[in-house]
Amino acid sequence: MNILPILLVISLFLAAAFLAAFLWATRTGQFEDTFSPSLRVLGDDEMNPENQPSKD
Amino acid sequence: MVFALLHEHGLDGFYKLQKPGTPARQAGEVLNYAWLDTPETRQRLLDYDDGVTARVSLHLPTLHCAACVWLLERLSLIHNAVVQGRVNFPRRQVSLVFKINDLSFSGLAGLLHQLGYAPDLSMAQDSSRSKNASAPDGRKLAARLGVAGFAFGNLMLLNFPFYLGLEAETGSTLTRWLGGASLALALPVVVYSASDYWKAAWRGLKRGWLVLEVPIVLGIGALLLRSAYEIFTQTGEGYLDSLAGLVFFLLIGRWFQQRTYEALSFERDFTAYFPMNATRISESGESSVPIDELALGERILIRHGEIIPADTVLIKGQGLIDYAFVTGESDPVEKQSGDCLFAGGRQTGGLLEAEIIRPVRRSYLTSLWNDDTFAKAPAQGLARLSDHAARWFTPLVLIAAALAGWWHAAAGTGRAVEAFTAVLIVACPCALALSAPFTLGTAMRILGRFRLYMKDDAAMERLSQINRLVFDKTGTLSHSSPRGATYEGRPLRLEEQQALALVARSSLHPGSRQLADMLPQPHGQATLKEFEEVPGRGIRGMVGTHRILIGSRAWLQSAETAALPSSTEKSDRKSAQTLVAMDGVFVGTYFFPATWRTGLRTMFESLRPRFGLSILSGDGDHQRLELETLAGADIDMTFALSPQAKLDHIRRLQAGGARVAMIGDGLNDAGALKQSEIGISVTESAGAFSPACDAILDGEALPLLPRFLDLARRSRTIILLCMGCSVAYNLLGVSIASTGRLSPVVCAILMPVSSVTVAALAVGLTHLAARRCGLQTAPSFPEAV
Repeated sequence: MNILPILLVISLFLAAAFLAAFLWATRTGQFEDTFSPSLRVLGDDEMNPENQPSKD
Repeated sequence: MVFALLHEHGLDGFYKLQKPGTPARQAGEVLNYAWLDTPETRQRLLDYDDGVTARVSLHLPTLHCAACVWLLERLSLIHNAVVQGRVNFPRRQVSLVFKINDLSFSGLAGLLHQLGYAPDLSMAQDSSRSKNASAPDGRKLAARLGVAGFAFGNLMLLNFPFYLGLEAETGSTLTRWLGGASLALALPVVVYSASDYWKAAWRGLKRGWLVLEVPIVLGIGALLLRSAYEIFTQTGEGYLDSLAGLVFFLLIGRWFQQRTYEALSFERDFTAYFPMNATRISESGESSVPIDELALGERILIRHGEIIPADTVLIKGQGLIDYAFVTGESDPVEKQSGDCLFAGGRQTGGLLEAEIIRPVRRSYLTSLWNDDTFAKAPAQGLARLSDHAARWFTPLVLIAAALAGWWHAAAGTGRAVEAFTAVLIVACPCALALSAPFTLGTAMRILGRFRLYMKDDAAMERLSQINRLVFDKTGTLSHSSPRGATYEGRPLRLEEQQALALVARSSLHPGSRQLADMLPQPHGQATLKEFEEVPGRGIRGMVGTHRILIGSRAWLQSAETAALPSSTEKSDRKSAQTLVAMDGVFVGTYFFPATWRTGLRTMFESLRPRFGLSILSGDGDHQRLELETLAGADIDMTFALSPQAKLDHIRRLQAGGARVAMIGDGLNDAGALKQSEIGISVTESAGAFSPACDAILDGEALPLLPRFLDLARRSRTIILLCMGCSVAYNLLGVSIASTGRLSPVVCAILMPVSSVTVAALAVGLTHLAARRCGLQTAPSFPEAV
């Protein structure tokens, strides 16, 4: 069962990477406003032929 | 027109998203935004400005729907100079990037105004910018929550073998390794995620208080130490997964609380009242400057109705300063040239010229609103109950935990630590502390929907304990609308009527407002000079070459007006009269019959059995009979009271043991509103209230007062009920926990479960109570424009 510690280390590493991503997202303010995106979805881009694909 | 503008730019889609009939705002008066282009203002309000591109965050109070978001984020299609727009809906903010050399800041503001989203540029925006800087609080909580959740999940994973009882098979090296890894994962949770609790507990202990966080940190500490001991001595696997779970659920609870508080907070920001700019007089003329720019020795112009931005000395003009916001006394103080005018006062006379003797301290102005003179005595009863609960809760819990642990140790059951930590963790004071805020917050929200805006929780609590109601007459029980107004006298030409309107508009007195409402709009070219107002008597001014007097009979008499009709003719009329004279000759009289609000009789009927009632008025008693029919012949009515006399009347009532709610219009009642336990300011248009009030009530909602008071009383009962539930839960939980058979994870889950249950109970019962009080359907008055 020597493989088990190695596997656990790898999985923890991966999990830590996700944690880092979460902390980064929090720090750059992506969780500041969780309500407005739900309103943005309701708008229809097809109404404006000249509108570019919406930003981020 | 808004539609034309949108159609022109192909944004008809806006109307597909908005239901027809939703009011598209009319562009009201054109506001002057020119002052936004001054370099100092740009520097202060723009987030970024390099002369070519600029970025700004603007507060748009009229932002209300998905269509607004859609439109504002496509602003670039209306004006090329706008590069990008992003809306933060909960905060009612839009962040715009625009080419400032193509479209000036004032042009941008004007464009928004035209679309119906006039930006709110008052001081609130400045103070909220510093608030935004501390918004990272929410981020910190999210980060802590993330770390705790991460650790919780992985700790459970690492402890999997132990859940399944596989230790024997896996061998001791793996076990040791897993134990070490568990500790490594648990440490950040304890040190970082739980740091708020450690800090709060330490702060409390330093002052000798056993705050609510103390049992929690004791529980965490106990779990950690015991687990570490077990891992190092290989006697077990510890409880680190429960520890992480505990912190995780605690933080979730806190997160929910934060979000709810944000939604429930009282939005009206009083700092929004203060003007940000003042008119500075220099050799080059008059200019509008931000008040921070005003330096010592500079001269400023103060117009009628404007707030004095800094301590000044009066140079020219007749000062009549209303210091209601500073002292609560609304009797205007007369000031002569050479007198000091203090910041926060409001000029109620004509034009003034004053010199700054002390630089503006915006913090001073803001502090006036939060001043202790406006803070009321803490509510009896409930608030103290919450405090008391908190105070004896912690020691009791500690004692119970110690007893449980000691008993188990003495009885040798080997579950001492489990019992000790379980009792510490399961006892949840959160629910006790949550009952009041959630109930009152929900009630406040419901009342807000029905147009009664309470200031805060404490005001709600006081409202539930009122036993006497005092009503002001003018403006509260009676409308300030010109319905049924009549004019008797020489017919007036259009220019004359416009001239009258110009003078009447300069005054805030209800009589003048009524007059101004019914007259045609003043001509743009005409200017008003030599304006003077004597409160309660009348106003005068010069328009062009005409001298105009508007006011009471005595007022016109004092100016030696010719051709005044004799007083006996009009004295038996029941209407309020406003006489007008031009160039020294009496012209005519406007009659404003008292228009009582609808629904008053039923309101008084429902109030009479439960509350003592009084009516106070600054007028004469010519409407006594009408009031008696409305409110009942036995009601306590007093007339001809000055603002000070009203205040004294309230004091007398309070000395007799009454808890008084005063309902007035805030103009003449500031002192009385402050003195009462609850001061409710009745308004037709927001903005005419005083900070001494605890609540703002829309005039049309006044007849619903009995239902509001009913809800307030019921919410008190609900709070007690919820506290009782919380106590019952705690007793049950502690009894089970003390047997030592309750796993810490279960305790950890029970804590937020109990909080959520009590909170849900509080909110649900409040809504139910609202239904019982008749406040369930959406209000039927038209949406405010």
